[in-house]
Amino acid sequence: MLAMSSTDKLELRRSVALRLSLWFTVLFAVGFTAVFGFLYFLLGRQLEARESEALRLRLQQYADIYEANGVHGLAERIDEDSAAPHVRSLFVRLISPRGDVVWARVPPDWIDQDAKRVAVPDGWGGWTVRDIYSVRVPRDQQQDLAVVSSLLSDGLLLQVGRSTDNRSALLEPLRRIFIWVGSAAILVGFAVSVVAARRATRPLHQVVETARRIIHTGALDARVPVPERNDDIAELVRHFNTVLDKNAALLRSMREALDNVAHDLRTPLTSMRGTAELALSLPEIDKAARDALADCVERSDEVLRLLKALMEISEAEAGVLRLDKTDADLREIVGQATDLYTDVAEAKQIALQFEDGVLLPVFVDVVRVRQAVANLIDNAIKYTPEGGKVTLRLSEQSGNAALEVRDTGPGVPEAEQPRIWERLYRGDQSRSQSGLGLGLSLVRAIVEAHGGTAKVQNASEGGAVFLVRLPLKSAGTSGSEAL
Amino acid sequence: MRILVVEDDAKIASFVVKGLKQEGYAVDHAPDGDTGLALTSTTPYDAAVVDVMLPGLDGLSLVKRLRASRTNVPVLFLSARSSVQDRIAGLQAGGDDYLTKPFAFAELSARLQALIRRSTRAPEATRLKVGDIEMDLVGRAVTVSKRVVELQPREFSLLEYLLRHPERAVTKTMILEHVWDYSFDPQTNVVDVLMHRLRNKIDPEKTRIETVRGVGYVIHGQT
Repeated sequence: MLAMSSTDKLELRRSVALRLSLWFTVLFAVGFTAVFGFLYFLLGRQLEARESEALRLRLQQYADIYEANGVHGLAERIDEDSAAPHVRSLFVRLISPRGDVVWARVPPDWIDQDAKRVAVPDGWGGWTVRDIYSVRVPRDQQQDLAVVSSLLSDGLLLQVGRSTDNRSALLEPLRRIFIWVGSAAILVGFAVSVVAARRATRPLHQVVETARRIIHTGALDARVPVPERNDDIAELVRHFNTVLDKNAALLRSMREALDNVAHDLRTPLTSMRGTAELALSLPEIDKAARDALADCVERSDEVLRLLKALMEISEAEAGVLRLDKTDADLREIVGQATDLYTDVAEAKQIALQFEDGVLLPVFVDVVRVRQAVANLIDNAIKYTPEGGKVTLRLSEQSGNAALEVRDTGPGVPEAEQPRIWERLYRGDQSRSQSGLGLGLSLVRAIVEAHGGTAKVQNASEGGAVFLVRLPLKSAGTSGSEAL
Repeated sequence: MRILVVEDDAKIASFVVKGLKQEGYAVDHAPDGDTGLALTSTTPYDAAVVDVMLPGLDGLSLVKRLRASRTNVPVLFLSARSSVQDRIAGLQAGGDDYLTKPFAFAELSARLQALIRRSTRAPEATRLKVGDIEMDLVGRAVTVSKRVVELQPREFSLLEYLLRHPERAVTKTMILEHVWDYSFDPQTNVVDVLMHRLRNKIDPEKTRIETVRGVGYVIHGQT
């Protein structure tokens, strides 16, 4: 289960659906923000324009009133205006060309004049003492000050100011709404896009799942369900299924062809062998004929054995070898195979040792794996000189059951190491040991058909070390079937 | 003892029929399943050798029909298919044993004998005796010319197998299956090595156990 969750995590990271949704969400967020920003800017500009327009209008009015009615008229009018509801109090002042304030009206909510007596340089190189009045607008982030001014006909400068709502303050609720609505929209958008993308890529997952099932369990009839919509993914699924159909048909016909070849070769060989064997038991046969017949039987046995091994290797390599898998302990299998060779090793004065270790549960075709192990032992004994040693060792290596077969023979030259697994390859031709040169090919074919590996290397102290790895049951291929 | 051989391949049928006749059986041959079925309905057989792949009615269906009609004749299937599934299919159809082609005639004969013995329920012997070799299966003791011989378990098992088939050839394959319970090719001759050791203990002059090239080993009573 632990292994499953880690692959899930990996899948999530690799998932096209997630990547698509993320991209979609990011683009959505950027677009949404851009549109809002533009609207916000436009709205701000509009507000500003309207406000300064209103202020300019007011300035014009006051200038006209001043021209007509003088300061008193202006003051009256301002009082009138200030009394009207919903009108923001105005700051109005008249400034002489020299910069002195001639008349001023400060709104009551503004903080009053702050007189300061300072010496300022006059035009003639001396210092004049002047009263500087400053008016403070209430310090408030919410407010801003807009001032417009106009030169009157008598040379005075009329200034009209008004505190205004800060544009950003005015737009604050809008911004808040944007943040809430925006984040909600992005979240919902992300969720929706994840769902949509998952839906869209579900057939892809099914393709992966199906491919995985076929690889692990050899279920050649597994197909991907074709999605209802007729889009390009559906087309991919259809094509994928067609490839699977063709592949299955090819494997089927291959299996049939191999079966037929086997049948067609075995039948005549069987009758030939049988006829010769029967003739051997006739009393009237002389020695020469007996030898010839015995040769016939022995040779046909050899051919049949060769045929059987070749068929199994071909089937295993084509992935059509029928494996009758059961739960087993590799210790037991190796023990049985070792047992078979104790007498042979003893006869050759070779110490055959099996150091069995921990329980190694595997899900394998016991007969075939035993054959593979037996072939390895056979090979080791064959190439180990009298008085030598063959050691088998079992261990667990990162989720695999590992079998090491170590001999004290001449080892395998590096250049030959990859070739010894080839069919009918026999190392040094001068060592004309009996055997068909198929033993090791069969080992590799069987081991690989079980999802394992077979390797050879030379031990530093001399001799060859054959290393076979088979997936353990808990972490191996059978796990997916158990689920 | 009458035996029915249902086999479509004329050559195989010919040597099986000939071999069984040499062993003293009465043999009938049917080249296809329908003929075989017809023969069983008219003749009571002691055993049948049936090929799985037959023209017309195939071997499995033939035996299913036999079993359906409550014919309990022991059946030995012959097949070119060697997988476990094929074996199981054969046994499920009602076969009693399953022999894969290619086979040695000696093996066919031995298996057939075992089937007949089983069906006639001959009592299991507790002592075996061939010539001057005696074996006590209960006490697991062996004497050769009244002299006690110590045998290792596998040597004992091999000798027992030979003693159970006196004067008959047993093949290396049969020995391998019986002594080690394996049915695969161990390449190096494991059987030769064991036989060599057994001979050193009970037959140093090589008069009791004969090696018949191409056939196997025969244990003789008269030396």
